[in-house]
Amino acid sequence: MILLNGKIGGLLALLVALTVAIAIGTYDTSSAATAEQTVTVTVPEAISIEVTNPLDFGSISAGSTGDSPEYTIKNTGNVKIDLYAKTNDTDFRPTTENVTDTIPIDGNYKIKSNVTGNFEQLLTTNTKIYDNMNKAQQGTGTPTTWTTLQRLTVPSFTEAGQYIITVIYTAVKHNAPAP
Amino acid sequence: MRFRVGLILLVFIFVAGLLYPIFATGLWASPAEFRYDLKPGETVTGEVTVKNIGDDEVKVTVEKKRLLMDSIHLVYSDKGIANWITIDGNTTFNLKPGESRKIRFTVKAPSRINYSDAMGALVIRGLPVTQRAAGGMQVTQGVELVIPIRVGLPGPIIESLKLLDHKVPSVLLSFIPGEFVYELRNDGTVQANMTGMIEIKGLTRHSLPIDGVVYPEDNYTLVERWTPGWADIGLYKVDTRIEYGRFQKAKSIETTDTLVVIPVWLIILIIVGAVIWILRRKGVEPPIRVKIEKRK
Repeated sequence: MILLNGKIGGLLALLVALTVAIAIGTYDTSSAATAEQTVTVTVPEAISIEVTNPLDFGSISAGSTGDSPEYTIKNTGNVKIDLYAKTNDTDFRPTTENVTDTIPIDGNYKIKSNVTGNFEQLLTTNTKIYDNMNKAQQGTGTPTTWTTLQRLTVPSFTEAGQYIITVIYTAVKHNAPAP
Repeated sequence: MRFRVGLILLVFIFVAGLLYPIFATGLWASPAEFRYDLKPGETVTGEVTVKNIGDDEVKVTVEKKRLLMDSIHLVYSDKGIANWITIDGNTTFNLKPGESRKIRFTVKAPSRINYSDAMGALVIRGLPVTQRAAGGMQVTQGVELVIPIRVGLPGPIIESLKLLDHKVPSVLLSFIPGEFVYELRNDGTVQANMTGMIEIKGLTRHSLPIDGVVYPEDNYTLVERWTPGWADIGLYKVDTRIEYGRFQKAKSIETTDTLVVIPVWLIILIIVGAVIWILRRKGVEPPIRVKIEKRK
């Protein structure tokens, strides 16, 4: 009888051990359900600008100076930029038939610069007009906008007619730190 | 009433928009720059996406250049790294509003080089295809995006930045800006990342921060501006410290100059004093005489 009791006791101990083992197994399975996942995303840099076009000075009398209407340049990218301006030619060229005069840009054609706060000479080489123009605030949907204007002096006795030139605005990512 | 005013305003804006439409020229490009570490003779390829974000069709021109850039200049050269870059496919094409295109390029480092860091670029220019009719003096406005391609090559690391010349104003008047110009040259083999400070010390104290990158064989013009305020007066010591290096800014360039600030209010005071003194000496009666008397 005592021997039978001992066997039952052993069987009970074995059942308890099996229950514990199953419990641990169940616990381990539940811990796998809470495993962490690392999610990464890369946002690429984009450089972008937009400028009002065309710009019309309207009518300026020979021998006088006129300002253009104000216009905007927008940083539509997601990086800070330095902004430069240059012309494609040394002179305003006539589009009117039989007009031979030109308007030299040297000393006559200027742009209001954000760097100096003054009107600066426009050249055929890049002149910095904005240093470190900020990107738009995250999520606003509104690009950073800068308003500027140009100034032109028409030399005295310039022939009547229409004159044109092209201005190119250059954007480059602001002073990126070394890799 | 408010509704009517709002409605009139909306109609006005709509009509004004129709009469005076505002158009824009714009380009978008991604990524904004490339950085490669290459071995001599090694080749790498890259890709830039360019998109027309303006209202007009644009003619796009893509060029490969060596970039010379400082605090005031942005100059393109056809030498050095410009010859390591090849643009695949057409370098001139038209893009309609909203249209985009991928530009592929290859950079092949030469087998023999004489410097370790180089900065090239893709220059992407967009000009409106059609001219919009306008009045007398018309300006067509275009845009240009510079995508730097920075290439580092193994080789001896020589960090050397030389100060060729510098100009600090000796006299400044209040409210009139003065320029502090430093001409630098990188004689080393690696890019010089520089930071620093111009300390203007006198009765008052001011600091102008410096930052920039100078690539090997490049000259760099650093220009900082300072405008004295009404409280700035007298003799000032101008201490300039430029720290530079490829990774750690372990080397430095230092200069010390003196600057005199003359406030405008002092000039006005001296002129008024001088006029009064001259008038008194000549016995000229002042045009206005103020007499204060006690009430009787």
